[in-house]
Amino acid sequence: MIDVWKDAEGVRMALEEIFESDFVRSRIREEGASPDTVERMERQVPPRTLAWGYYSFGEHLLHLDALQQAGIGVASADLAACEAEGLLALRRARSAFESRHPACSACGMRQQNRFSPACPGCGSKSLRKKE
Amino acid sequence: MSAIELKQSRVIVIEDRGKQYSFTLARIAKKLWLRYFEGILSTSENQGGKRVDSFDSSAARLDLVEQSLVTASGYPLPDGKTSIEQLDGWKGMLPLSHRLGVANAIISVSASEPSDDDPISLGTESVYLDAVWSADEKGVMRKFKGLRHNFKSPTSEQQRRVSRDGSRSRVVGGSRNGKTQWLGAQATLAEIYDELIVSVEGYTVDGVEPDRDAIVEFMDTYHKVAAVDVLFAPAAPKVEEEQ
Repeated sequence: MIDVWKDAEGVRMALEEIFESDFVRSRIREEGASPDTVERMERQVPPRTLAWGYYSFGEHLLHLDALQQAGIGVASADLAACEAEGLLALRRARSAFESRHPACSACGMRQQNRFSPACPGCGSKSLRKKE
Repeated sequence: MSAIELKQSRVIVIEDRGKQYSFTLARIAKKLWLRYFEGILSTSENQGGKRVDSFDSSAARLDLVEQSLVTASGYPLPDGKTSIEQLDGWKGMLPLSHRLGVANAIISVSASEPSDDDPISLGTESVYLDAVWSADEKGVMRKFKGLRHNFKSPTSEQQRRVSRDGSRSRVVGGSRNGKTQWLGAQATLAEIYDELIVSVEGYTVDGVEPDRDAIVEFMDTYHKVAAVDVLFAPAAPKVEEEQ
């Protein structure tokens, strides 16, 4: 039996899946595609592979993180240890997601991958830094 | 208007094949309610990326009745016995459908729609419940409607506790193919009730409207949990279809 709260690695994996599926869904919304295309694109949303408890705790952490970003900080004394560990897992998951989908330096739109030749949002070609 | 007397023992009457059976229950303490909530089996499974939920509270309901039942009447007794309690293991002899019927009556609590006359006052939040409580002297079970619980507005810290404890779970059978067992936030909801409650309407303690301390001490834990559950539920926006 796994206590989801204590499985920070499982929570991190669930958060990465949440980020990826939200990314695909946001692209579907932005496309303004026909219902058939939307259906086809919906099939690209990665399925959830973990037990459901991980996503539920992940959503709680996202809410907590949103509160902190809005300046409604939770005193560290009020934060449960699992929440503190979870917020660290959230930071790792977000960092991995942002590395896979860098933001366009011109308009901020997240890219499909790190190797996009041009931003589909603004057409900017200055996405990749010269190594 | 009649009110629920919180210190009174409860009498549940059920009818089966034209005959009435009566069950007297002791006041159900918080500890017993928490044991009931812990006994509920609420699980979710991941089947091909889709969530499939299941819920089973029958064992917890039977245990709750067994723990709180004081006496029952309406059943034929063997020769030489004058009451059912004289029989060893009498609770287990009661028909299963009767015990489940009693349990269903004691957990019959639901959110109630406030009437248009009930004003909304800032800084105070009111929640209304409908509930079955106890049979009257004639053995008639009635539903009490519009039981009012007035709360202080919850803080973001209290909301966070509800969110945190509502997401608590264990996974049985591996993180990928396992089943999620939800642990429930009822104990937290009951705690938050005690922190926020200001006054109630539709309940009495020793025949008078209870003050805050009496509410915290005597309010039925199931009602506390139901009321705070409603308090944290979002109100539905008014949406009209576009022409």
